[in-house]
Amino acid sequence: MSTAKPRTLVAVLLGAALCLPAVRAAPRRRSAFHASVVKIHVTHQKWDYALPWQMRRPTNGTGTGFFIERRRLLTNAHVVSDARYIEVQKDGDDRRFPARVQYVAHDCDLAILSVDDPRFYEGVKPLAFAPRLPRLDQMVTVLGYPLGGHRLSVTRGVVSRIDYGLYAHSGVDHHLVLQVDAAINPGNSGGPVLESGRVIGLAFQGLSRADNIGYAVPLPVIRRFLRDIEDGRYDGYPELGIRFLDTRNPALRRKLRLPDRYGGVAVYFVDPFGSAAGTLREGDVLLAVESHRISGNGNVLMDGANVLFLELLERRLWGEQVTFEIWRDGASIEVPVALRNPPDPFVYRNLYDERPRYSVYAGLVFAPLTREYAKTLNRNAVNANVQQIFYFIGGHAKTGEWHRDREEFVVLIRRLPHAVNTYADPFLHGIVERVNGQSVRRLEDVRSALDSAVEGCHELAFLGMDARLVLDADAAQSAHASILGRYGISAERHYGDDP
Amino acid sequence: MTFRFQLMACLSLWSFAVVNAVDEDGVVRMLVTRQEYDCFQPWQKSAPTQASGYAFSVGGGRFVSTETLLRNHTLVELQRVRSGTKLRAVVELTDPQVNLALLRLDAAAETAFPELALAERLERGDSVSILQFDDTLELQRLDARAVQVLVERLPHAPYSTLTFRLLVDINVSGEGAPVVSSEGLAGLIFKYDGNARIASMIPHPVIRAFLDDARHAPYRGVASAGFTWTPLVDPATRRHLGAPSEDEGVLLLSVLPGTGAEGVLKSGDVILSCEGFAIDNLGFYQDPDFGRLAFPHIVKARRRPGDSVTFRVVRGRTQQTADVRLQRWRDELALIPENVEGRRPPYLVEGGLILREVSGRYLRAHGNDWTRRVDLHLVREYLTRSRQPDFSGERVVILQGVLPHEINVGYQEFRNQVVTAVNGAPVTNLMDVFRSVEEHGHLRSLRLRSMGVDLVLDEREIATANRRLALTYGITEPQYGHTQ
Repeated sequence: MSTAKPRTLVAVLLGAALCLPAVRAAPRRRSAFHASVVKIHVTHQKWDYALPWQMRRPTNGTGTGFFIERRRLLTNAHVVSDARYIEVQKDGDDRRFPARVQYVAHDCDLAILSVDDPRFYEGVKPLAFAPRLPRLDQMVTVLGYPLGGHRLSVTRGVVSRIDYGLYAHSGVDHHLVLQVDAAINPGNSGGPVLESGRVIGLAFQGLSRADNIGYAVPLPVIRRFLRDIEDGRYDGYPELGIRFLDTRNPALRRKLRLPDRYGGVAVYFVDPFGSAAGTLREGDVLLAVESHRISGNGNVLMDGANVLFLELLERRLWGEQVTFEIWRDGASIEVPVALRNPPDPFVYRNLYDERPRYSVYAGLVFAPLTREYAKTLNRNAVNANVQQIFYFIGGHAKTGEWHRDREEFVVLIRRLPHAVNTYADPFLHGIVERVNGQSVRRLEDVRSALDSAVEGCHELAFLGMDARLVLDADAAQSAHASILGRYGISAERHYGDDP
Repeated sequence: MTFRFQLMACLSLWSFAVVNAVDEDGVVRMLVTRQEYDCFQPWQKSAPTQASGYAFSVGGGRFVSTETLLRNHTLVELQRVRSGTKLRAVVELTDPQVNLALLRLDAAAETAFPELALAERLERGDSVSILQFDDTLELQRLDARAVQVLVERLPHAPYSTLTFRLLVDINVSGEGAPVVSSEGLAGLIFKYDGNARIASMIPHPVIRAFLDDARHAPYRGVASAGFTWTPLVDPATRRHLGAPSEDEGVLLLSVLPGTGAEGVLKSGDVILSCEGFAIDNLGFYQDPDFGRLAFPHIVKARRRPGDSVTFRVVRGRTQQTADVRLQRWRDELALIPENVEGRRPPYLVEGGLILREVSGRYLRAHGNDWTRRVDLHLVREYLTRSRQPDFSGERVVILQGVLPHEINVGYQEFRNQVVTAVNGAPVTNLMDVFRSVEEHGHLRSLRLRSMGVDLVLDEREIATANRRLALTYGITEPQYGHTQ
């Protein structure tokens, strides 16, 4: 069974709240890395998903970046997400240069910055990548600008583990991660992890309530990112979109008529938005992928190690094709699967640099369901509407077939109190099903349905609720403008930047 | 000086009268040993615990106390004032819907206890005394005053009952403590808030109805009309629904399947009156005995299961009347029963797979943050439609978890997943599972919600595996409950 396990991973970006003490520079010997590893100063500002017409207060943070070939400055996506202003600074150099984000990959937490001022590149020496991933217990060095000082810091440790794990930045994506026991602290984010002077990873997150566990984005993930952007655009990781069961159970194997010579995993759910939709079916047993045999546990042998077969797909780019050998109807056949999938509105990632969509009418604020909005709610609340939000955020939209009736879930996220909506509180955080009898398939539908009041009233029906929210149409219309003014709402709606 | 003396004499005379209205020998301390079924391994019980409270004599060797105190009891003992002797008692009847229990002395221990006569009336503002034991087993009287009369939900009851709130001077030391007025027994305490010094009391009319009912078998319990409702204040909604005035009537939210309201009342009806009593937009009516009360009290206290009551409703903007035959709400009608009494739940362990039905008790057994610990599908089902099955008899059957053994290799990570089919046939409750397993001899395959592949168990190995699992995990009973 493949499910995301909850872990508490923390991005190691240094926030402004941590005051850095002023330390005088001591004379020291310059290493070759000083010119390659830079400090990144960022002013962030996030959109406020609870008041979606405005932004939260700006905050300052710092991270690390390093030069690779072609004058590219590699860092973490989380260092530069929601950035309003970015400056980069070389160690021992007083000057700060404005930088901009050239590519950002939120699903694997990587970004490339560029600096327009040519003076910044004087004396810079790009770091080279190692030819392959290191073995366990090999000595590594982490460079960066963590808290506790201003200048470049070096820590040392060994490779503790190479595993498949959650990338906290998006909150849902799993890729290969490199675990080291060298100290990785806030501010180290985006810094290189070196083995014999060559890059094997990029420090990016730690684990709370644990000691000496630091994580780096490993070489294969960085290389894949660089290949992906070669065409000038980042496409991201395609989702295969299946859930599967291992086939170690002899009774299950007999039921599937699976010969003893095969291992494989049994597909039990095919995501309608995944690459596998239309090609793989429930009940198929995946025997091999690209000629790598899949064991009864779902592992393949790759570079001498047993890894989950999905890792093999990880290195593929958007649009590439992989061939599965599958067991279907008592025979083995080959099935090609093109790794591309449509945008999936029912996967709820952390959102960055995305202006929230919303619409306000008569003090009722409607917005599509997002993970950012869910973060504004109390997870422990014994409230049916709130728990329903977490139910859908948790991936149940597709298992319950809810996705068939809509393009997105539309939520009543807030009430701006006014006499016209004073009885609307029980409906807060409810998912809007119908407005004036018309189905709500997406945010835009709410406002357009409000144009056709029924017998002088607007009637809103919510998912899982028996009661209806009723507004007096004339009163709502006349209150609308004054509510916008009273609560300082600059625009009554934002439907997205696309036309 | 003389005047003051007279006043003192008057006061003590009055106090004397209060004590005399009830005989203090009718109050007993109750010691209860309780033991629950283990919520996660229902073939065993958790450690026994002890609690103490009070009961009072109603004559004939019988006593009344609260149901919550006696829930899951294994031993009940009574103690008189100033006596160390413990007299064994047995529980005859409990009703969690009114939080009352009737017990009697074990025949061997029977000795005479005077009956505490029930009072005829009690009003807001009246002074009363709460009777309890002090540390020397002497009877202690706490002065209290009735400050509020309301219709509220008792702990875990499916609907509300008439209660009184009392303002108390000294801490109340246990549930079941009788409350007496100058007229007799006014009620018994079921809850006490030490910070606010407020005790909650089940009043005499509820106790009287319970005792009358208990005397005439079969016990019928409290009536229910079988719907949920909400206040209807919003003028726009009222106009939309065609409510005749600004302040009359509440909104019917849902009709519970299997009750007398099914097919008679409808979601969206505005309920204007019940048995001729006008209901305001917050749900209150004017009770002849107690004044302003929430209208469910008309059904709970003035009518009994089997009676018919007439509601006047607005439906589709026109007024009509609807006659609803009342019945007692049964927990079994729910999609997700509460099982407040902690009865042993039916379950089945086959091949290490633990199958059961979801109950409110099971969900809450996961802790205060149960909404985070339980599968979100179950949380949503419970919070949105626990009392509204799509059809009568529908339950949520789950694979609670898997006790690892070779036979269930590959399935061991599944927990709290909804079971939709067993041995190839759809199941809607655990009875279906039992029936299917009886028919096929064993649990051979299991389908989980939104899963296109069955979990299959080896038929040739399952008998051996069951024996092995029973020994390894100490499963004394692989199944509880059976087909009917």
